Amino acid sequence: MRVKELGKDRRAETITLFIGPQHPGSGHLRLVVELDGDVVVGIRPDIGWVHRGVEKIAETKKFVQVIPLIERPSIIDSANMNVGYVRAVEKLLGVEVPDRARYIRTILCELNRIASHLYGIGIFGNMIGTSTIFMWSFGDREIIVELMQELTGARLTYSFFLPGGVKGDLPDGFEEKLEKGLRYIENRIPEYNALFIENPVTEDRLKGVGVIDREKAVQIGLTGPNLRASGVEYDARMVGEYGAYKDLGFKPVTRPEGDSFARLMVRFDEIDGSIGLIRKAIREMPQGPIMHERTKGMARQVLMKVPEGEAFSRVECGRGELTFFVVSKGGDKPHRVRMVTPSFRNLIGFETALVGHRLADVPTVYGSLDYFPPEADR
Amino acid sequence: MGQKKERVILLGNLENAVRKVGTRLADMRPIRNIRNWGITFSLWPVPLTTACCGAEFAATMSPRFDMERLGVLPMASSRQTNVLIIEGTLTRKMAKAVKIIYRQMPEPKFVIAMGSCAADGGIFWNSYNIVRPKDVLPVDVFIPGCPPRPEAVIRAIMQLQDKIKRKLKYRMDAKERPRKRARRQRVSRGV
Amino acid sequence: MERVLRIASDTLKSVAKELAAEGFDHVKSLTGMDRPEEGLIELVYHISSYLNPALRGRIVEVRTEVDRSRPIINSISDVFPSCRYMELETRDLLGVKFEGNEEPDPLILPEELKNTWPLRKDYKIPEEGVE
Repeated sequence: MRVKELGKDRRAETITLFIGPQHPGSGHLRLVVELDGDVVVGIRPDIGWVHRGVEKIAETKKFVQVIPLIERPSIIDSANMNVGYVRAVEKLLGVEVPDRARYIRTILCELNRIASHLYGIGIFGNMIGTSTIFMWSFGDREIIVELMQELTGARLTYSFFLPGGVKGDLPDGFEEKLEKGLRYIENRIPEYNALFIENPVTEDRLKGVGVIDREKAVQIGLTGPNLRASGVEYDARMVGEYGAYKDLGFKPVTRPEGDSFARLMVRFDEIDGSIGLIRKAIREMPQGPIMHERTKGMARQVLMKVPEGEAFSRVECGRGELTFFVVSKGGDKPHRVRMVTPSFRNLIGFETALVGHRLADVPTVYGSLDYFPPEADR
Repeated sequence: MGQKKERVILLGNLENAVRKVGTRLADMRPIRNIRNWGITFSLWPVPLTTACCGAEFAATMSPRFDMERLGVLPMASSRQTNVLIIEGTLTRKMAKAVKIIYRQMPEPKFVIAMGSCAADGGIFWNSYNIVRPKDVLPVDVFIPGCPPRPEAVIRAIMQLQDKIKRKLKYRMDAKERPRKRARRQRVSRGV
Repeated sequence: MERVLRIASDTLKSVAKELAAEGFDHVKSLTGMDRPEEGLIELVYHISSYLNPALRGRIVEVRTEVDRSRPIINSISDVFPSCRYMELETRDLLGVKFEGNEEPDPLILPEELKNTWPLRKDYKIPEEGVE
């Protein structure tokens, strides 16, 4: 309901509200909201509170030293960011990754996707008021983080992929632990269903809120689960220039409605899909080397000089499609590293999805778009 | 026998005398122990999830590491909190907001700087857009790590508890604690 | 990269309209590169399609250059709304003015770093081991 114009002289005034940089959400973002009573008539996001200048710093570091730098914007998803940069450098070097390394990359990336979606679901639950879901999803996420710590040695900052392959092989006994962990997550999803998804409060708050229809989603360039929840079947893993997705037969999941409920359900569906992909990759993993001959050994990595050229690579992170454009002028430091992160491309979704809704729908749409401010600001 | 009427003449300012006595008493052993016990087991932080360290702080809140058994409960509104945990890198734009948040907190208040970026810049030390938190606020505890493990965060909270028990003096009115003069960050233009 | 188009900066809008008519519908990334020794700033657009099944997965690279002392170019955010924030970011970091997409405040830089264009090659930041 909107307040109608009361006569020619008296117009309804709007209030400007700052939903400021510090809020119990997933980072620093300010939304400048114009309210007409309780209804949002205009919204403008104000970003840059976490802008650390990654692209400028990357020009002062060697190619291998840039890897921790570009992982930091989205630390909960760092394996996927790592793969994007490493694919671009491999195209410049002209090396082909061995098969076993591709399968190990797929396993780590899919585990990281499950952890990233659980983080997103937890923060979403916190934003709409159910801190039970926050505790559950973070507790379940610890299982996945433990598995990744078993494989790489770190909880969040793996830096496990280097140009040419991966740093280490699967440890002994990893397959059994992995199967136990995945079975635990699989048995927990019905409990989320019973408490959170088939809950009339959740359905009331999420269904029909923040609808972005198909043409509009394509036009504003949304990406990731938000795009697939509006019915567009596109996933950067389909295009398949990295990992083992073509060999494993990957298909994206979509939903047609385009509201916040669909965006949440696409994330749960993707967790199921990732569990299937990991199981298949473990079964079909080939034997062989894990690193290409030309880039073997830390000395070669640190002292490597990349030939002159430009390379473009794209990967699918937890939140959407990440693109890298790396330019080298023949030295050991890159000339230009450009990364466009999925949260930066999803920023436009706020303006499209929220105009016309009430103020209480702002956290719902914010959480369902899964916007992560450090990733957008880099 | 007539009763002599007593007249009392007060010398000095009564309010100041009461303040001095109150401050003295609150710092003496039995009351001081109760006061410290109250403060150290209800340190409520402001959720200031900046970046990477915020993910580990959120994991510290999770059921596995459980900060809440020490009394630490993140509170959404900053006017009801007493510790400010700067998780991660502090940019120029955010430093102004952090100063406002710090002033909104009631006394006694504490600051923990979490991560290498909060200590001295970390991996982003040469960026054009970050400041060091120790130039902006008086920091009590630093936590090293990139990001620090949740066990390290809990250890830092316990160190803050020890510091409070050893050193906290009672102040009756809220005054900003003195801090070092802020050093402006130099960016060299042209070589 | 399968298809690379090198165009002059004043033909950018017409090329964008032709690509939109062919079926391309969003911009994946906009990169600005500073070349001080030639006095140019090079802009590289990567454009692709979501809906057209023949073009899905293909990327067109559109390269153009503007003069470094007077970097003004037409904005294509009315043809492709997905590049609006990328153009604002390039304006903050490199100083390129996109006509048709103007905002008074900087997008990701704070007020005190407005018009300092950090990504240009003559803005130096400290390096390890270099005095």
